[in-house]
Amino acid sequence: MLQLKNIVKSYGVPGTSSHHIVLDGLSFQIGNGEKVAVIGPSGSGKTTFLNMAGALDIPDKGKILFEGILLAGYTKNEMAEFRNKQLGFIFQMHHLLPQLTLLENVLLPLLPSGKNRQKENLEWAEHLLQASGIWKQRNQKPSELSGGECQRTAVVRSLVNKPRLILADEPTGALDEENAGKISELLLNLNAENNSSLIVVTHSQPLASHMDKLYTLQGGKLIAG
Amino acid sequence: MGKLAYIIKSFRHYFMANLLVALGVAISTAVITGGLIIGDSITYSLEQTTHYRLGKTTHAISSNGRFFRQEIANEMQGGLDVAPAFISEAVAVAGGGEKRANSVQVVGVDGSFEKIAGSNFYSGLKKNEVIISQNLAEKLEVTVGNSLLFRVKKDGLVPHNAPFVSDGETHVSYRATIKAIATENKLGRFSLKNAQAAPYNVFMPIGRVNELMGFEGKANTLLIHSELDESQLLQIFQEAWKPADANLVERETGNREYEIYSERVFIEDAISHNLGKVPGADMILTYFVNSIGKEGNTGVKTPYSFVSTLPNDVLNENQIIINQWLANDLKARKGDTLKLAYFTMGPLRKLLNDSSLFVVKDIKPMEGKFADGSLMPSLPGMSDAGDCDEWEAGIPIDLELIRDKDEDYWDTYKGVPKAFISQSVAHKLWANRFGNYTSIRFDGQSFNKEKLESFFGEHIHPTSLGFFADPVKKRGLTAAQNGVDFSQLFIGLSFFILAAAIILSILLYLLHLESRYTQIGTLDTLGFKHAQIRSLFTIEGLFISICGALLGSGLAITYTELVFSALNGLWVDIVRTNVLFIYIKPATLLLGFIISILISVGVFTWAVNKKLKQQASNVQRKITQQEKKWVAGFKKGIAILFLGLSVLVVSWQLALSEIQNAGMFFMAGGLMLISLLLIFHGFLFSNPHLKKHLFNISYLTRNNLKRNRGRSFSIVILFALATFLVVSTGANKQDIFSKAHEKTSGTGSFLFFVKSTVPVLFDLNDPQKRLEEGLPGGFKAVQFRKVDGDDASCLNLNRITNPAILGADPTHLEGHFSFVKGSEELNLQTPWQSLNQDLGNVTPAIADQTVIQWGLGLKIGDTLFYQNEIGDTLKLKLIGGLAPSIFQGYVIIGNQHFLENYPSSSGSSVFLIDGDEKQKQVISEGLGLNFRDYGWEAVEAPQRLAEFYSVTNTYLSIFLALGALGLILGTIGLAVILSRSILERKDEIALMQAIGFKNIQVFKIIVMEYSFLLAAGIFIGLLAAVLATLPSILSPNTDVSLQTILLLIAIIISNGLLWIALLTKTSLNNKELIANLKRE
Repeated sequence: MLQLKNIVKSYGVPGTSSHHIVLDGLSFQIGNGEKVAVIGPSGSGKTTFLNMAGALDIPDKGKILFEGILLAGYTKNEMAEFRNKQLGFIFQMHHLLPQLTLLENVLLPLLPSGKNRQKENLEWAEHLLQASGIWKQRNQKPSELSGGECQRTAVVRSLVNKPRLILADEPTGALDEENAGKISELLLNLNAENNSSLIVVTHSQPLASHMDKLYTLQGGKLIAG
Repeated sequence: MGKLAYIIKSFRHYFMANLLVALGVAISTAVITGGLIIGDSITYSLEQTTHYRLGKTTHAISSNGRFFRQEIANEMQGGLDVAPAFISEAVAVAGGGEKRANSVQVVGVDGSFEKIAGSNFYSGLKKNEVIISQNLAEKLEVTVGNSLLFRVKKDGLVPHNAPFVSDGETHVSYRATIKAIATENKLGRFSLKNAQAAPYNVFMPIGRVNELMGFEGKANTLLIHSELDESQLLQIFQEAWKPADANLVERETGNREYEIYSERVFIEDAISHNLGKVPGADMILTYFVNSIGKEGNTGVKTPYSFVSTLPNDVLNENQIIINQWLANDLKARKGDTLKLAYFTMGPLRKLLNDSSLFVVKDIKPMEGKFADGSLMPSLPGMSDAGDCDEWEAGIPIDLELIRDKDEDYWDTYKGVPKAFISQSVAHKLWANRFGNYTSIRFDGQSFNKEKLESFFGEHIHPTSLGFFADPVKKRGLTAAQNGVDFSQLFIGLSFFILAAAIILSILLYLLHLESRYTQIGTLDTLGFKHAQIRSLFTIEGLFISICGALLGSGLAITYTELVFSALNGLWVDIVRTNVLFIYIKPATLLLGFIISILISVGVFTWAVNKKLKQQASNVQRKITQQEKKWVAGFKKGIAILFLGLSVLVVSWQLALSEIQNAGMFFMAGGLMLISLLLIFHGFLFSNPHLKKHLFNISYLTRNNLKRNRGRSFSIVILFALATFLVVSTGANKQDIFSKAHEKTSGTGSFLFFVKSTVPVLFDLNDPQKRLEEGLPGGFKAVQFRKVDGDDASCLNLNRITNPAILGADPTHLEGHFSFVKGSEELNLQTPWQSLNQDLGNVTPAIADQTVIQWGLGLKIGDTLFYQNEIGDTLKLKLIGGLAPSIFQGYVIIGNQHFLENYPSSSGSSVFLIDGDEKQKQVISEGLGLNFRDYGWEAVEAPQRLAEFYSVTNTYLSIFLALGALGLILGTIGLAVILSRSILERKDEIALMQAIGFKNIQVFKIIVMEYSFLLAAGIFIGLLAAVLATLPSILSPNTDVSLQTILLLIAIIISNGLLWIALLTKTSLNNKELIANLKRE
């Protein structure tokens, strides 16, 4: 489904001391319904890798293909549409909009495509909220909820568009152990229900252990196992 | 949830932040809308002033200095409302001479004035009653029932400067009781001139004015209310007009001839040319000569005789026919040569001696045509004189020369001409600008009154005698609508407050956006297109803008009220009227509302775009983007270019240019300001290279400044702009008085500028006249002829098309005043002499450049159009622009051209008096006393100039006052940024605390950071301002003091430092922050 071929990404000005290569000829692929965990030490480029996979950043070299289509050929708007339809994102911080209720935050990804008024989508969102155990809190705002509840909402939000691929960047990184476990469980359950593919960048061993594959990012490349 | 719901929720959630942004928008709306309302209100006030001063008058028909039948008002057809008026001038005296008002407008009216005034207020005015305007009552401190003495300018049917016109009476006195006081609603501000300042008015019965002048049934203006246009009205006027309206009198002579002569003595060319075409018309010119004597014989001379004309076919050019009496007196015979000595009229009644020789062709007995006393023109002061010693001929009569036989001749024959020369020769010798003939005779059998009236109505057009229909209402309203644009002016004067409000709005909005950075990133990540994100934020921005603009529209009214109360008091110098109304047009409110929304939504969209340009991943991670190399290079290039240009302009102006142009310096200052700001911007983007030994507080401060470049740069811009404007405005005030003695200054080194209500008919420099009139010595006068017009000075807010014209002798002005602009027709060596040039169909004219540019809305080379006295269009080409001078309000042309166009203009009513500065008091008092009854109003020349400069200085004061408001806004901006930054840096502060920084050290670091920005802004602004005002600073005639500039800077610095220290201290003491620190 998603293929990254020989990706090179660096930061800083080439030829100066500030220049350093983060991804160095990295290649990766994930199939339909597959679950992959990426681990690695801090600064190894895990987030950069995820940004590449999520079309949030452009590589210096290499190709990114989704279903065989080169993402570099997309315009900005096509790229946005692609992200909206095909991808779901979960970050270490929930990034819920403080002005919206939980339900509204969940429905937010439906807005760009105008699907926010379709009954089936609303029912799906309600189902996800119920399944995640935060249905009662749906009309509350993020500031009135705990970090765990907000992160659950973020997980639900990533699934509301029924994406083909979910990208999670340290989804449990900001939570305590109990909440981290709950979120991991929720993520895996909902993902299974939606039959999405999943890439998780994580430090959490329990979460990584539930994945089909495990990669370590080292020296700018992914190493299996 | 739809987009709208999302936007509303966001708007509500960030309400406080939005409210702050909306406040910024409200301030800019208030300034923009307020400026527009002020402009509307001033225009409306000027329009109202036009209605107040004209009542129902839409048109006025008049002719410069001419009087016509009052009755014509009733004879004009077409259902018009017409009122005859006799408009003149007077000096009003009250309290036994203690209170005096010059330049009082006398308006002689009858019952028909009701049609114009719209009330019967003016009806039933008795012979010795007057109605005066409220301002005159206030000036003289009189009220109803009080008595006033008026010295009314004595108008004559004959132009004062015409030959043989006595200059005896210049004014007549008239005592009257005040019947009523006319307020503005009762036409108390009546005036046909376009100006917002009200004249002093006195309304009296038109019959009484006629009596005072020695006239009967005359008027000089018709006030008309009509929907018709000027040409239609003139047509109706022509249909009603009779020879008497052109001052023609008809009579039958004893010789069965039908004669026409003029009350003005000489018949104008426009009339004689046409009537001369009537078959058998005999054109007669009878002239008064000083003596007739035999050539070579110095013994016998016949004094003071009239000489008339005979047709050219009767006499050759050098022939003369004399009557028997003269032949006897001179013992002259046919063939003898006689010498005729006579005066011709030079400028200002200067008499020029002249003579001509003639050979006696025939001697005629005293009978028939040769004993016809009616050939003598009707000369007031002569025709009615009983004896020769009663003559008032307007020329010096030496009574010693008059013999008994001359008295006997006068007793017997009166003014029977003693000699006759040919028409063509007489025309050549004595035709003058007032006319060519004294009478025209026709055969009484074939020409009579009916034929004359019919011929007159058909062939002589009123415009050929200078009559014109002035669409006063339309012209007034146009002048009001096109007057000084206070909208632009106040928006311009409020530039800094506007800029500060917009920058503040941007700042507040950017701060607000920064708090929502991650939100933008989230939306981006969730697949929102940039256009969608932009539209969400733009619509939210629109909500903010609408709230701000609504609030601002209300504030605009308050702002207008404040400005108007200042215009009615402190800033009255720039409006000079008490008729000011606040006029709020819904369309203006809407326009201001829309402009403000467009501006604010524009800047909000720009801010959102700026954030959206950053990549989503960076936004998420709060990574600020580095400036692209080419952008940095471009900015650097522009900065260097502007810096170079500003240095180049200043060097060129200082070293090479003869005239230093203040505008060029201001431009150089502006370029320098932009350049230095760009350099500072570059500094904010530079990458510091750390050297170990340089790691200190200062390094930390520099780095901290770059933490948020936009905010740092905003502070610098605000304070640079504030300093630039405040210092450059403060440095631009000039001292008028220190330069006044210089010939090239705006006073021309003259001591006094004088206006008189009654024109002075003689040459003030003539020693003989000075002796006769008892004038003081030690002064030199430059006299100007004047054609009334509108005041085009900066004291008049209306857009003027026909300013008053001054006729000058250029020789007297050479070397005085300075020119700032000139067309190719202006000779730079002797610029004033350029006024004497013959430019074909245009007449060269000079005016103050400020008048040309602002008063008239024209430029050098443009043409002004007038209708002259002889019915032609006078085209004044503006060939020279003077530096601001005491001539503000006037257009100056050469005397020669003046008299060609206004031949009957008599005397001078504007003067420049030169003399010894030490004798100033003596000269002033001497002239003032002598010309007391002329309405002599002398103003010290520097004082007059200072009055004009007071307008400029008031504008500068307004600019400073509004600039100060802008500075307050700038300070608010500084405060907001400072508070926000400290809150955002709580982690950093906590860390500093943790590693051992004391509170005072943290305080110092923050204060140093912002003080640096403050200092940078002030330094940049100061440097640019000094450059912009270098001519003022370097000029020895300036009152710009270093202390003033330093004081202004000190105020700005103290204000800034106070707020920085106060806010830092308060923020560091903030309990929440401390709690945060503890938590950290």
